Amino acid sequence: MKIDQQQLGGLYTIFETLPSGLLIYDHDENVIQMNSRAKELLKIPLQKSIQTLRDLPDYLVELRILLQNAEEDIPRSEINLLFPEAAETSTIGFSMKHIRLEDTVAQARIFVFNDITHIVRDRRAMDKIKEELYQSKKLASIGTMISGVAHELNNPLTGISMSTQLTRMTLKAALKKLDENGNGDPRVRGALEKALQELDKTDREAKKASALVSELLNYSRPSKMTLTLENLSRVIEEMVQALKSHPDFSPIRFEIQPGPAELEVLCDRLKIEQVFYNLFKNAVDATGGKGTIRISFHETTEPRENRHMLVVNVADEGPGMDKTILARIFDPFFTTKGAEGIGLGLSISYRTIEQHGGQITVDSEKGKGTVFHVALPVFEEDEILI
Amino acid sequence: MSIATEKSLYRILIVDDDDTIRESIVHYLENFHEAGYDLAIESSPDAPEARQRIEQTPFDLIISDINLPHDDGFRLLQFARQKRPQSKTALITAYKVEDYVRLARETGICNIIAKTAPFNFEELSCVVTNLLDPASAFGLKNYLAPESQIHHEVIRNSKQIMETFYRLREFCEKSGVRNVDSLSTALIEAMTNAVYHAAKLPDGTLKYKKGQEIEHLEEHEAVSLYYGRDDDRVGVGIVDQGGRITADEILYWLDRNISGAGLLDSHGRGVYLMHNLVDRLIINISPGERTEIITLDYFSPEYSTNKPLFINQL
Repeated sequence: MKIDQQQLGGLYTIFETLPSGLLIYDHDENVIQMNSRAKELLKIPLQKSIQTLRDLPDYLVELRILLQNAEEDIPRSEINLLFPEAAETSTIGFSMKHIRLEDTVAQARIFVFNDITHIVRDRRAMDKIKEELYQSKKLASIGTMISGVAHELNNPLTGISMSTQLTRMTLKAALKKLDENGNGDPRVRGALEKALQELDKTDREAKKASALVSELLNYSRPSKMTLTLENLSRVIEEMVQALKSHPDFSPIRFEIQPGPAELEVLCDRLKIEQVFYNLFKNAVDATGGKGTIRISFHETTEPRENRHMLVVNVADEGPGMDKTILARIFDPFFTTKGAEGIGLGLSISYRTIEQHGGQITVDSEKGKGTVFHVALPVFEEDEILI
Repeated sequence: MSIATEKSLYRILIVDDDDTIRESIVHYLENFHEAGYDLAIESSPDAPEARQRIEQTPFDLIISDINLPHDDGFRLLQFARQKRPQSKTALITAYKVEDYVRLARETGICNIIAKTAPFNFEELSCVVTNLLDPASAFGLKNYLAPESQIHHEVIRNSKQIMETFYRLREFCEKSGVRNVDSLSTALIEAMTNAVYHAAKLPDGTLKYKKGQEIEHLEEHEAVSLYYGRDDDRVGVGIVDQGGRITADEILYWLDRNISGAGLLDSHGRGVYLMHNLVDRLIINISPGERTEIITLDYFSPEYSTNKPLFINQL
């Protein structure tokens, strides 16, 4: 069954001027109506006649299968299509409805669609922004909590330290008295000495706790920055040069593609070096100390505020990470290094870069290595300081 | 036969709501603080009781925790000085000392002790001695173990800044300072400031421009450098004969850099850098006579986190 232009009458004009693609076909796959917009969206030449679904070009095979098998109405859905010579897939958003055409008993299906690739892309970008905001909020609130806990711990730890030191001083004074009198009971002396040894243990444990507390305090309260204008590419080249002689880094190869020399970044050099040191150290740990760390630079525009950013890419040849690990690597206390690390390195790095108005992101796939991207705002001449 | 001389007696009040800490400080000062004077120590767990004691007793020194239940140490110490202006005051805190620099400046409190684990009792002793007997704050020897050898050099022209600095750096390296680069940055900053900032013309402007070559400093413009070590630390003292900077100015520059307001101007960055780069920075000022910058760097990293504030002005 075929409805021609005359039968459609005024409807034909409406179909043709619709901003969406429109395809009406029956159960036998005969195309009853297909407007020009539909051909345009599906990259089919206008002059090509499409009589049945089988006339659709081969690259639309997935669409054809979808159309053939749609037994139910589909109120709203999407399909990804790869058009010839396109670098990426396009997303087609569509609705499908079963209809009964006037004057006929036959059922037909009406397929209305549009290209929503850019909407999907925006949506993904939006999701990414949301996720970043979530991450940064999460870190901020964890930071506040940690700061409170750490300070509360600092008081009793100071108390423990004071008390053990005073006990030690008192015991030593008692031992001295015994020496002076020269008549000490050896058992008393032995007991005092044993007590001193026990104090050493208390001290050792308290020291571990206070080391952890100071690490927590450093994490929760990033210290103020001392900003200078730096050529990031040079900073990293100098760092790598210095690290080559470091025993942890000497077996690894560094490969640097220097970045644009004219771009400068306003940053706290020590803190930025700490971030890259962390990334390099992680790369070394991930690769078991061998392989190559590749460092490259590129420029980009940050979408939210349209800022000119310089991105440093740090790629390793390690085993990569799966999605579950990837989702948590910037969380404090998340570590894959077991007892080796306490899991603050990347979390601190994240905050440091955030403090600089930049971003740190990561791409990784199991078996394919990991790339960290550190984006920092380029200093523009007309920027007003303070 | 010895002649009994009456030792002077100083009255001290310790205020802290943490019982262990309060009692430990009292215990330490009563039994282990070595000095040529006697101490009468009272203590108080909260501000209302402390205020009552302050009303009753003319304390020579009051050391208070910053966070007290229903009150804060700054207010308590201000109250104490209104009652008795010659009372000396110091604060102690488990929180980050840097965060209190602005309040310290507003209230004129120049000494804040950090609660750290391990707690540095020696330092507490030092603060008590310096406050009760301000003259004893001067001199590097007071910060190193007795009998430590102290090197002394005098800088008489601008070329000697770098010459003495290299000898000092070598000394630090050989002694095993943890971070020689940080200490060097701080020291070179302090040495050049001492040479170029101390000498002034009668109208108050700087006599020499920073970086300018100085062939010969006048006798009263010469800068002294002291350095030495003991088993725990390396100490450096840089002494000029100007004594022109004030505690208030130091707190102003520290606060400006801590709050970020002074991040991009170089003035006053020196003192902040030094505060950050060394374990301990002690600034002694004898107005119109001399300014003494003392840095202490411990071989053990334990004392490098929460840094106290020590400024002594005669």
